[in-house]
Amino acid sequence: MLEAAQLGLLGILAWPAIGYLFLGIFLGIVFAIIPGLSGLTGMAILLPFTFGLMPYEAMALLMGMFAVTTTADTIPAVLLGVPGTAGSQATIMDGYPMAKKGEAARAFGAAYTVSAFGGLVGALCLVISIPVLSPLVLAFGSPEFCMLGILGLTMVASLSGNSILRGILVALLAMFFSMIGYAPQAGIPRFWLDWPYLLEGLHLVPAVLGLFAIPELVELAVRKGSLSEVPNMGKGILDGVRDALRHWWVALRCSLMGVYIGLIPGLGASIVDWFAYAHVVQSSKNKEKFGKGDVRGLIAPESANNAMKGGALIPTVAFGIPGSASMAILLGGLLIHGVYPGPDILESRLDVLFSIIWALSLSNVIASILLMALTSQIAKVTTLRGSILIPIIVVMIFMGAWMATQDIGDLIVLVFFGVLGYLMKRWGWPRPPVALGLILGPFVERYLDLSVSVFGWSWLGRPIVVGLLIAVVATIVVAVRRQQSFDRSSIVEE
Amino acid sequence: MRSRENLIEASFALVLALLFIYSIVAARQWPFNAALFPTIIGVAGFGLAIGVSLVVWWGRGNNSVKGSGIQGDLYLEETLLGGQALRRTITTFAWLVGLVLGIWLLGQKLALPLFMLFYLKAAGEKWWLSILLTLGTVAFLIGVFDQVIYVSWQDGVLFSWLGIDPI
Amino acid sequence: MIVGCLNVGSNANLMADPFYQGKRLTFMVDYSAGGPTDIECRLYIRHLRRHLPGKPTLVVRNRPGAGGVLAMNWLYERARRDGTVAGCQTASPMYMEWYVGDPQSVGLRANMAEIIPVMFTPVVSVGVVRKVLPPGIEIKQPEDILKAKGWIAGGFREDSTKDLKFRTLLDLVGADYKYATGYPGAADLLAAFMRREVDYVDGSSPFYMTRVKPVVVDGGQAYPIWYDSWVNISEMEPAYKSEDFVKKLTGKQPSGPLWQLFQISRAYRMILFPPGVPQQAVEALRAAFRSLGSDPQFLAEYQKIVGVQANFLTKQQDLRDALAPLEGVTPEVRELRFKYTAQKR
Repeated sequence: MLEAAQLGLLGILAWPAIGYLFLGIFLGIVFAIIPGLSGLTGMAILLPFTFGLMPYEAMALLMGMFAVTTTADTIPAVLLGVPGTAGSQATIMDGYPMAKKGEAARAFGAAYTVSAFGGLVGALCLVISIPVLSPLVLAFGSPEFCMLGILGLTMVASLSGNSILRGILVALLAMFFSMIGYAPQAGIPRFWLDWPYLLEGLHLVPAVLGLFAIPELVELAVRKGSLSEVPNMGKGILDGVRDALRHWWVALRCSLMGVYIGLIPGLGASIVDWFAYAHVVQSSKNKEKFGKGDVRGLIAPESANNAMKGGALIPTVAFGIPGSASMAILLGGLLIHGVYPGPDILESRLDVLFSIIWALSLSNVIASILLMALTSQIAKVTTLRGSILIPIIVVMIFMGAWMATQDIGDLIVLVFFGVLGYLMKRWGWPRPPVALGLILGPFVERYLDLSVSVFGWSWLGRPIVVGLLIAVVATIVVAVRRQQSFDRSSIVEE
Repeated sequence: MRSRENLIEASFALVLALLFIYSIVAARQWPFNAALFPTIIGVAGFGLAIGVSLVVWWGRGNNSVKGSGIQGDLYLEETLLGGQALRRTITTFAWLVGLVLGIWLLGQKLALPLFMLFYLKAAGEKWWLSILLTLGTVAFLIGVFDQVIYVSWQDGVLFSWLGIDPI
Repeated sequence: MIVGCLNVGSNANLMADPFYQGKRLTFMVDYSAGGPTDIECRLYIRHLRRHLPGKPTLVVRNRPGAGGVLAMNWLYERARRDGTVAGCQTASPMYMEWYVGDPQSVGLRANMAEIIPVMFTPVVSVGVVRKVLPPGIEIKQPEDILKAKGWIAGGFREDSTKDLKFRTLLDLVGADYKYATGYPGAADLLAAFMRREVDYVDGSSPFYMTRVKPVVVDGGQAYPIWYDSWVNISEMEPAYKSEDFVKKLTGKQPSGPLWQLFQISRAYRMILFPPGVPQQAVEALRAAFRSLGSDPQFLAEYQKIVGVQANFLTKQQDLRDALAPLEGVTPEVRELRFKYTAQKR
């Protein structure tokens, strides 16, 4: 294994592989900044270019792009309140308020530091788990996925702040929306209103862009002035780095969470950041600042979504089961170069696997350093007039939404969720549960049906399922007690 | 005391309740495995929507905007409420809806640059800046989305009505 | 109707300036980037330019959604009809829906009889079962599956053409299995197989050759029992070709409505033009794919990635033969399909 690790490193550091790595990093940053583009689009474009490259070069290019999108997507999330990719939705919760307070540079300092850290944790977990990949990946079946989805839904409570009822209601609304399209098991189209666009269901990107970005846009238009309400930039990037170091335990926990969720096919970046965010809210004693610019609310999702990538690689290389859509493309790249998942890559082509691991690690660190160097300039965007920023943001989110299916329906969904998001924000209804419901609704329905169909009701007795069920009950109990204690303190104040 | 905001919010919750009823009714025509989830969500959602509507209507939702620290979402400043804010909000949404219509009629390559130009001018920006940013928009759309990603553009229906090739 | 659309291009004059000189030819793929259809399409594009006179710029775009319906509707309604836009799609389900099913029920607005086929290539499917099926039956040859009882075959959805194929085949031979649906993709099915949740999984040949075979077949966990192809493929052994599979397990030549349903469920990757495209474009692209089909560099890469030899149908007779079974569908077969797919009419 050591020899393969050495070979892999030398392969990545040699020219032209290192050049391709930097090219991939640069392209990954560009794609991450433009909402809706994402690493998946970039990798699909790059894939044909890898046909003529050697394996190390191909992996350097693809991993360079893949690894850094969840680092760079922080930029539009913090500066504009627009998720750069699916993995930066939760970053907006506290990152954007920090920018409004003139703390954008501090937010970036913390985010880039934990992104690099999370990426390294993910790569390390991949290395450590090589000998034990099989039981890790195969321990989770349909019943466990179902219960994990239900556990995810209970986090609605943590993300609902002081109004759990509203939070659960909007999560149910989102689950209703998630049922639009074909039922997972049968060829029955549901709620499609005879509009073919809806047959495949509502796409997440236009919905999320509408829900989170449009209300912020409207607020900027109403408020006028610039994005940052504070004329100076506030504390700088090094303060953010210090924040990251101070909260190392949050970063580590969330990184490990990210790796584990990355292992599970179908969950991916769009949910890992919400899980991490909900976890840090749930587990913190002083929660008052969450949603108002608490740096922990940034550290949690940013470390998780980078670590997730190492986790997603595990089932991809071990079994050819892509942990995400981007992994499917990476797998395509491997196959094109005659490197097959399973015994081939784990035994006879271990050097190629290590080239992937090294590329993942190096890309995370290089991207973080590069972006930190540019931070003070990037953060000045917050001082631009709203009248200039608004049309730019509109163009970005309209094109971002368009990338879902390139149909006018994407824009209709965008504006519809924009109106919904605005109304929810106006009335103080929590929006994160909508994202959870949209992602987890189909997940829970599919795996519930599969569990019953394959195992009957005995699936409820499986050990991991029981453990997760206990976690579900515990989460609900804690949430209800917290709400009751809030209600009591509100009554006392009145 | 019930405010107009409470009334509107409660009505919104009632609209959601109707949506959940629709879910339950629609599910009746489907086989069991396709109907189960919509029925469960519909029943739970309907009950909760009615509950929230009543809670808001009877005034306990007054603190929904302020809340206390656990709120995991962003705050709309209270100072933004009021007539001027409402007008600006409606105007902004009108721009967005207008842009969707513009894209449908003209396609993105024309509609987005025009939007950029008109918005900037309506906001009082100088001509040189407006034109510069508009040209930047065109470069961005063509350079990134057309030449690199080869995105499929919306062919404006106006062109097909007029029988000419879209841009 | 099928014959009519195939006759486009019969009078082309290819000796004038190349049709695609200075042009850009866009291929619209009906599934997401990175999937098998997309990878195959990008593989064609990588080599096709050498074979297209005029050397146009070739571009791939993706328009996933609704199992290919969105892309097909777009191709029919919105694609330019000047020969610069073609579909690269696994469109056989669309043809099935048009001729045998109920296109309205899935929102298919394209008139498939007017779509111009340029090239079809059959998708080879392979089915594998667990080496030991309940109740403890070791599979040493495909016939042994008849001794097993209550094993679980995993699938996507009741209306999936891929699932329809294996369900009709297994029912034809009288296998005692349970059908569990809802797995989102082939990779999830493989994962479910490895977790011992399902006992049967199938997929296209690229998926079989690059993942199923190295991970579970060569590892001794699985046994390939059938593959669907017009020709024998040695890499698929010891599985039987579908016709032989039925013959050996039932002792009879396959026939009847179930067999017809199986045959019309065959999948093809297709290159298609929208109606009204100039015949010069159709002939130029057909000729290019004919030439591509004998390009050694392309064939080697194709074999590596797709796992089988390339077999491009570009002659009108071959295209006609591929689509003809759909026209000859009896009401009995039609009803059988509705029963299997539980599709609402």
